[in-house]
Order: sequence, then structure tokens, then C-alpha cells
Amino acid sequence: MNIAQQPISRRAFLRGAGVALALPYLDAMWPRALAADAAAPRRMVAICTSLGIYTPSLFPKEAGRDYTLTPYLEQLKEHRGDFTVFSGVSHPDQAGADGHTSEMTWLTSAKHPGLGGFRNTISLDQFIAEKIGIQTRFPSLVLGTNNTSQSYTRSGVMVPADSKPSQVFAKLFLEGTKDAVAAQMQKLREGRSIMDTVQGQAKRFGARVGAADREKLDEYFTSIREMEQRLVLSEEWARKPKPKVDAQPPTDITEEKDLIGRMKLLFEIVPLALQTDSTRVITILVQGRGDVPLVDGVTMAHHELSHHGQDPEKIRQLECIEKAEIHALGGLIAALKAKKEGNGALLDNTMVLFGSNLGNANSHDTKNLPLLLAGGGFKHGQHLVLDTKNNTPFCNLFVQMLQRMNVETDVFGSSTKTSVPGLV
Amino acid sequence: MQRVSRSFSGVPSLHSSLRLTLLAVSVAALNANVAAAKADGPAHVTAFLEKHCTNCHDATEKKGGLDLEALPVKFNTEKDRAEWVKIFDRVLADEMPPPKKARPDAAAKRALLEAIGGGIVKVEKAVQAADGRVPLRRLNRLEFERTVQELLGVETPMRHIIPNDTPSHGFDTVAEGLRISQLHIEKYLEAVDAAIPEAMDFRPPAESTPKRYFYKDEPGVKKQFEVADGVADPKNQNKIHRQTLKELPDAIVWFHGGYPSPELKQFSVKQAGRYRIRISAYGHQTAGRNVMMIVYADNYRARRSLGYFDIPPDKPRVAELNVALNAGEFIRIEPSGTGYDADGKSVNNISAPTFKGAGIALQWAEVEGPLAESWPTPQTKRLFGDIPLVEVPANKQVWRKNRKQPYALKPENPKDAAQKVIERFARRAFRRPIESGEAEPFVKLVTDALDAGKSFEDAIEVGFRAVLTAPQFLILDERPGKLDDFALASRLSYFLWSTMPDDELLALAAAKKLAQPATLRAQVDRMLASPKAHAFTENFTGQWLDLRNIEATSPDKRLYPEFDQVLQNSMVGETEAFFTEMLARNESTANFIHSDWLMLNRPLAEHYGIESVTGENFQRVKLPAGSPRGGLLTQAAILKVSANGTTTSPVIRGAWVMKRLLGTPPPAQPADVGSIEPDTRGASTIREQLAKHRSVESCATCHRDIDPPGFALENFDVIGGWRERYRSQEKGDKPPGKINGRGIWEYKLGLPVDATGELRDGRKFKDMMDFKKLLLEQRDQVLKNVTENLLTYATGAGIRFADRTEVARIIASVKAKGSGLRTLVHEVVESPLFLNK
Repeated sequence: MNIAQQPISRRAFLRGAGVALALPYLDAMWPRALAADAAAPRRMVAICTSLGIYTPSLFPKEAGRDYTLTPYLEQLKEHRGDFTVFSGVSHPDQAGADGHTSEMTWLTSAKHPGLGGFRNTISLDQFIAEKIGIQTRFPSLVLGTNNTSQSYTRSGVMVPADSKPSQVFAKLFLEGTKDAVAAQMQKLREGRSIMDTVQGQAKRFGARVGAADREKLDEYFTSIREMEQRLVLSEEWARKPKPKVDAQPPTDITEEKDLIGRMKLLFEIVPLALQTDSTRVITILVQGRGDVPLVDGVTMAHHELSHHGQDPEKIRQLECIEKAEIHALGGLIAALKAKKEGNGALLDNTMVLFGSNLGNANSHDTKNLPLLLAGGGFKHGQHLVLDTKNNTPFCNLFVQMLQRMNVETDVFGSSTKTSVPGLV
Repeated sequence: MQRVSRSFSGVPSLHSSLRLTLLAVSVAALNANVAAAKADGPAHVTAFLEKHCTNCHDATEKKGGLDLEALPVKFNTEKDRAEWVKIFDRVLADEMPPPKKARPDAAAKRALLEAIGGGIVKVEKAVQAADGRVPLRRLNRLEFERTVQELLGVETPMRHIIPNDTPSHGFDTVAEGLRISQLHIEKYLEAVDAAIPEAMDFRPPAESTPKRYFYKDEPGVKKQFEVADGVADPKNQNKIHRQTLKELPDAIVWFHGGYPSPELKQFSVKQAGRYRIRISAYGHQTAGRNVMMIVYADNYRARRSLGYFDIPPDKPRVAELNVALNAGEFIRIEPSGTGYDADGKSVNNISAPTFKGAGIALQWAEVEGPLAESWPTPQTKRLFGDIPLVEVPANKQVWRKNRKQPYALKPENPKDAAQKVIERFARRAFRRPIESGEAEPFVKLVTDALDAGKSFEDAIEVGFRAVLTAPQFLILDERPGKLDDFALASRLSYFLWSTMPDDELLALAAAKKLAQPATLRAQVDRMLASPKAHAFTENFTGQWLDLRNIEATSPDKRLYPEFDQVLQNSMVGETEAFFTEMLARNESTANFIHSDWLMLNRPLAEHYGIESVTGENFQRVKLPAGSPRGGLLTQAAILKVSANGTTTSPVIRGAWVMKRLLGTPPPAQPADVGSIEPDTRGASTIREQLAKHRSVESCATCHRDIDPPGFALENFDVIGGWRERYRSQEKGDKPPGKINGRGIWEYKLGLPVDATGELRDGRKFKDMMDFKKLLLEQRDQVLKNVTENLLTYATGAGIRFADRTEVARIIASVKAKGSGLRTLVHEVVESPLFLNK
């Protein structure tokens, strides 16, 4: 299903885009299906920086709306009314195999990641994708600065992240040739007969296994059935033309140390993918690395800086990196605000969750997570201080977000309530 | 009950072997006599619990989270059993009742343990009898890749396409973690789509006579020499041309891998396949030292290392490689660790004719390939039998994988041929004979495609895709009870080769001979002698010893300028070679703690300060007297994966030793105790920081055990080098040594290292050599740990309570035969745990 393996030449792009360049995507064109029901679709974007965020520079001293801007929130000051900062929120029981295993559970809340017979549970985005993903060409987009993601299927399998913006752009917006589309359709149909055949084989196999193993075979059965459904849907989508956008295909940044550059490039895809309703759920994992990121004023490795040991110089350099990350988030919020949809902005229908799985990376602490929620039509503009001793379950916020996505549920993961007090 | 404290000292070691014996005796006795234990079980159990336990562990106190009132004396559920196993272990280890309380009567204690142990074993054995010890298990990502490659006779990489597996009980071969999802099916299809066309590339090999290329003919090189050194660039009069390459009568000298790149573009791969590459080179201006040469395959987008070679000074050496190359790739040859002269000046600032630093003089490179003994290839014959390959007129040739195919399969009767091809393929893919009618649906897919007008190859492809996503292929077909010969062949093969069984194993299975002990022994020896067994070393040590994390951190270049790719590769190479050597020579597992020999190549020997080892290959080297090395813990790979790139932490290394070497992981940090924030302000060494850390009693309980091994390892830096002083960026003295023949200006030598420590029982050690002597008393624990890890990896299930008797038996038997690693592998394979599902 990978469309473009190689960078797309300008010529190929022009060919693929056809009249796209002459006919930019216009708000007025959007979307026929939606014209019927008045409400725009709800979306969610979840962004995590896995090496933590230095919270003394993030959390304001005061609770409520009149907080004094902190060095990090200074980066977002023009959007002050568009987001809420949370303190006192985390997933319970995150002591895991090592200091960074909570990275796997940021969107799932499964307990004790990586220990013994640990099995991850479904992530927030994949849960949404299961419910409403059928309505879009891509049930979800899983993006990352490398191939690791925080998106996990119902069976606890990590969905590999797309890390090449050029490829994501191509799969979202670049149309294949007529022959390529025909070959693609043929392949999808073949895929369905293959699924039919192997399903028969699983019955044969299942006839002779014990009760305990039948569960495993059921897992296989379900996978095959879901694959069939996926193929049917893909066929339908393959028949429909892809949306056209007024944007150039991005050129990938191959320098892995350019964390901020790579992060921004992924962020640029977000408004395009959402506004064309190509997907409604996106996760982005910004994976900090063991080397020196290309950020002015930074000379030490990112991971080492996160273990600053209160060394003021290390904290200063860490702040340089994290300010750049939060500044990039500001760029994304601005882009979502700039896109109009109905009577408001794309941001009004898009929840952007930003934060980290580490509350204090210096000691690998998973309590009091740095968290920020923008958009989605909530009344923002405050620092919401919850229980910093006995943290409010992060999943309570997840349930509230799910309900905002019009996904009917009262529970998710380790939730104890259906909302976070103070967030309306 | 969360905090099971495990001591790190000689006394508990004695204690733990006692524990083993007692366990073996009690559980074995119980297996025979479960009924008796059960008859008077509950009453005496309840009495014991009431007398010694429920004071603290009742509904009101719930000390350590344990409420015995809420825990039934029943072992039916997994959850209850897990709870009882913890109680069993604490009581057995005399950790409960706590030392300050009244000691239970020995006979009562024994009766309690027999009742609990026997109860658990009984239930677990019943479950194992019904379902088997190992749940159905699918091929993991690496096994899938290797098996598809072997089936199709291709070398297409696929692992990057398939979702990562979640290791369970430490290994990605464990059934519990190997889930199946729609995503897997999607990615399997994508992966086989990449591989199958490779197997249907029927082009006859291009001419494969060796051709010799010279660097002086490279356009980039010619350009360098067009303008004389020190003369103004004709195109840019303001710029003085500086040559960075040096021309000798018989060679071109390269000082580094930068511009102009040492690429050999006169040759590029037209047809993927195996190639023989020979390169003639010698060291130039190396002051009598050898220099490393790395050979890469490059395609402008990515480069991969094909090998590295130790090149002697002034006298040419011909290095030879036999490698698989992909279409579009070309060769790139670089020196490693060169480019600076003794004063630290780069060739780029001096220019080649006057530069005095070391480089590699490349004479020529010779390429031959694609190598093929015959055409059609044996792989083609294996898949398609004697179906004729017929030449296709140019205008009718099809494109497959961007290549025009001048030959096509032309069977006389396509449908009959399809049936034969698919049946043969399914038999190999399913690793057993196919049942009557089993291949029909797959054949039908192909014949339907033929009816729809597809070419024979395209139709067969549909069938192959179906076979490779069928459950019989993806899942190991094991049924409860004793494994049949074919299931055994697969288990053996995935254990030692990480791929499907070969013809010999399948033939023995068909003859029902494989399970015979003598045959099994001979087969294990044969399999370990095969190059395929490297997968066992790589995948087992990669996970047991964390070698897969070798790239997780990059050492700070300013603190560790001597670190490079060759050294990193050598690190993993050493530990793998060490394991393989132990296996080959049946060395005692005590060598994991300490050995008087190592497997070294030149870069690593120099890194360890050991002289007179040359070459890139690993050789067995006897350690000089007084060397702190020997055993696993002082190997550079281990020291690197247990550090963070800049600093070492005795806590992380200590925990690593407990977890990986001893198999007694420290308990997870308790949830009710907050993290202690590391604070480096005012504290000058890591030891002082830890002293603060340990002064908090709740931490000290465990850190008394965790920290000592880490302290002993403080003499080893983040890349495994020996240090007596910490490296520093600011304060300190200029280091006296040299790196690759040049001075060191990047770092200074700071505070001295203190590697002394004290075990929980008060015994002191002054450094690693000393500490290893204490650690050797734990050799039984190490043997137990390796045994459990091997059993887990080999069978695909973690060690259960009911397995303990068998584990103890294996250990006793291996010990009696000298504790050899190969003996252990044999014992594992011959164990009922391996021979049964």
C-alpha cells in the first residue's frame, strides 16, 4: 500500500497533481458529505515528547485564568485563550521495565509497562479509529520522528509510525496513474480472495487445537476478517479521487538530529489531513534522542540533558530544546486557527493534546505529567490544577475527549470518571 | 509482598543453592504424594497462617498489600497462584515471617510449603496436560523474514516492514507476546510482495568475469589532481586548491571518508545477487601500525556496512568479501580513525602532499558477479521444478520489479504445473507433509487467476501470497502432549537457526527418528556447526544481554573521541564470539562471571590495552596477568549498554548485573515511595550522589544490593575503556595517551575513580578483580539464570512454578558434567519441557 518509495520529482508531482495547482483547495468546496449535516467532524491530535518536559518552566505558579506566563507558555502567549494547562494528572501504576517504558502507555494507560507478561491495551487514537475511522480514507494517521509510535491496536501491537512527510503527503494527496490505480484495485480484490482462502484454513487448523489455543486462532480469524473489511474499504476509497490541496509536497529532512525541523514538517501535514477529512485522528511521537539536537545553544545530548541533575547549564540547554518544541506547537495551533471551517476555525473542531509520558525525566518520574490541551471547543485559557498528590487519572480526560469526539463511552483504560473537573 | 529483597552476597548464595535443593526435594516429593499433602492440607495451612501470618496480613492490616483473609487457600486461578507463589518464595527464603518474629517450627514450615507448592504444581500440571505449557505461537518478525527468504531463495530484507514484536519474559520468541492483528496481515502481504518478484527474476546472470577497477580512473579522483596542490582554482581565482588525496605510483591514498568521497562508481550493480569483491590496500604513514578499512554498499540514499578489514602498513593486503548486493548499489571504501596528524591537524587544513598523518593506500578493487553456479538457479528449480524457462520476444517481455524479463515459465499444462508448484511450496512452508485436500484451496486461487487470463508467474504469485499468510505457515503447529516429530523439527530449528527446518531435519521427522535421544544430540551438534546457528547467538544474546540496544546511546564525541563505528561493531562481535566460543568448546557457564581468555580483534584488544592482536576477526586470546578483564561484565558491549553515553551509573549497572547475569532483578521501585531526585549540585562524584541517595532508608533496603556491582564497574567508562580518573570537559590534566597515533585534546582527566564497595553481609572488595572473586561464589545462580533464559527462549514460554523441579534437575545434571554451555543446550533440548508442547 506504499505509494511512493522514492522522492517525487517535481515533474511527477505536477503530473500527479493534475489541475491541483491551478485549483487550490477552497473552503467552499468542502465537503459534500458534510453539507448535509451541519456540524463539522470532530478531530483529535495527540503529540508526545518522550524525553519529558521540564515542568518548573511549564507549570504556572497560580491556578486559574490569571496565571503569570512561564518561560514555556511565553512561547504560546498569542494562543493563551486557546489552551488549558493541566497539573496533577497522570496514569496510575506506571513503574515499568525501565525509566522510559511509560512511553508505550501514554495513550493506553496499561499498567507496569514492559514487566513480566506485560500486554499493552488499545490506545486512545486507535480506539477512536475503530469507532469512526470507517468514515475517512485513513482511519488514523500515526506519525513520528522515527518509526516508533504510541498507537497500539486492540491486541497491543504497536502501529509503526510514518516518519517521512513526503510519503505521508503522497498517500494522502497524490493520485497514482490510471494503470497504477487499476493494478491497485486488482491487488485489493486478489487480497480478498486470499483472505477467504486462509480463513478456511484457519477453520481447518482450529478443528484440532485445544480450548486455550482457540483463543489464539480467534485472534487470527478476527485479523483476517478485519483485513477483508479493510480491503473492501480500500477498494471503495481507491475508486474515489484523492483530495487536492494547495501545498507543495514536503522534502524530508534526513538529518535525524534535526528534531525540531522533523517535528515541524510533520506538523505541517496535520491541518491538510484534517481539513480534507482524510483522517480525524493523528498521533505524533517526538522521540528525543541520545545525540545533540540541532538547536542553537545546545551542545549536549538530549537524553543526557533530560537527566540534568539540577545542573543549571544543563537545564538552560534543555530549555532551549523544549522552548523550540513548544514554539513549534504554537505554529501548529496557529495553522489550525488560520483554517476556517463553517463559522469558526479548524481548531474549534480539533483537540490538540500535547505533553509527555514523563513528569520528571530527571528521575524518570511518571507523576504530574506536563499536559496541555488546545482547541476542540472547550473553554480554555486556564491553568487547571488538579490533585498533585493523588493524581487525577489521565484517562478521565481521555473519556471527556472521546465524548467530545462523539464516541459513546463512559470508560477508557484506568478512568474513574467521565471528565476532568473544571474543563468544560 | 511487592518487595522481595534479594541479597547480593556469599551467604545468601549458599542459601539460594540450599533453596534450590530444598525446592527440588520438596516439590519432587510432593508430585508423588500430592494426595497426602492435600488430605491434611487446609487445616494445617490455616493453622500456620493464623499463627505466623494473619497478624499483619489480614483485612485490617494488609501489610505489604497482602490480605490472607481475602486469599482463598485454592490455586485454581492464575491470580491466586501468583499470590501463593510469592508467599511460597518468601517463606522458603526465611524472609517471612520477618526475622524479628517467632520462627516457625521446621516441620510445620515444610508441611506448609508442600501444601502450597504441591497445590500449585497440581493445578499447573493439569493445565499443561490439557493445553500444553506453551500456547500456540506465531513466527516472530525475524523468523518470518528468515523463513520467507529461505522458502523463496531470496535475500530481500523484510523486517523493516513488519510490526515490532513485544518481548515477553525477556524474549520475542515467547508466545504470550506474539499477538496477531489485522496490521500484521496487512504487513505480511506487503512484505511478501517485496520478496516474491525477487524469486521470479529469471534473468540469466550477466557476465561474471572478475573486473578490476582503479581509483585513479574515478572521475572525482581525476578532478582532484587536475589542479596542482597550492595553485589557485582556475574557476575561482580566490580559492587555493588543496589536494586531500595523495597519488602514489601504485595507489591512491585516502585519509578520511569525507569529500571527495571514496566511492567506486565505475561499477554499480545491475542485477541483484551475490558478488565477490577483492580489494588490495596498505596502510600509508601509519608509523608501523595497522589501520582499519570499512567497505560499504551505497546507493546515494543509504549506506550499509559490508565488512571491515585490518590493513597492515606498507605491505598490500587483499581483502575479500562475498556479499549480497542490491540493484543500484556501488562500493565505498573508507579508512577508519584517520585524518589527523600527531598534532591534531586535519588533512583538509594541510593538504595531502605534505600531510604526515595515516591513511589507506587503495590499489584496486575487483568485482565478480552475480555469482551463480548454474542457470536456472537451484532456487528456481526448488520452487518450479522442471517447468521450462522459455525465451520471450522483446515486445512481449513483462516488467517485474522494474526489470524486463527475457524468460518466462512455460509449463505444458499450466494447471497441473500450478498444482505441483503450490503443493511443493505448501509442504515446505507448513514444515510438514500436507494433508489430503489441504492444498486445494491454494491451488484454486492459482487456477482461478489462470482462468482470468493471468500469466503463469502472476497466478502462482497469488498462491504464494496465500500460503505465506495461512495459519499453517504463520503459526507453529504444536499440539498438547509430546510434540510429534515435525513439530519437534520446527521447535529445534527455530531455537537454533531462527528459521524453518532443513531437508535433513524433515527427513528424520518423516522417518520418525528425530526424537530418539542419540539422533537429537547429533542433530543439535550438526545445527550448531552450521552458519545458520549464528542467529541463535545473535537473537539470544541480543535480548538476554541487551546487545540489541548497542546503538541506543551515542557516546559524547568530546569525551570519547576514540569511539567509532568499527569499535561499536567489534563490541557486539566480541560478546557474540565469546558466547559462540563457549558453546563450541563447551566452556563452563562460570566463564560468564570470569574467564582467563577473551575473543578479541585488533581494535578491541587495543581498546583493552592488550597488545599483539591483529586482524578484524575475533581470536581467542589468553589474558595477560593482572588484566581486569575476563567474563561478560567487563566486555565493552555490556559496559556500553549499561551506560548512557556520557556517564555511568552504578545503580543502572548494578541493576543490570542482578537482572541479566544473576536473574534476580531488583524489585520495581515501590509505588508509595516517591522518586529521589538526582541532584548533582555540590556533589562531585556519582558515589557521593549515591551516598545521599542511600541515606534514605526506604531506598537503602534495596540499594545495598543494587549498588555494589555498579561500584566495582566504575573503573570502566561508557564505552568499556579502563579508567582510573573520570574524563572531564573542564577541570583536569591533559591525558598522556594517544588515539590512533595522535595526541588527545578533546578532554581532560578529572577526579579519581573509587571502585571499592561492600556487600550486604559486610564483605569488602577493592575493585572489579576482587569483586569477581566474590561473584564466582554465585556461579550456581548464574547457571540457573542461563538455564531459565535458554528454556524460555527455546520453548516460547516463561518458567512456571511447576517447571522448577525440571529446572533444578537440569542444573544438577549440567553441574555434574562440568557446567558446560553446550551440555546445557543439549540438556535443554532433551528436557520434557522442550519435547512437549
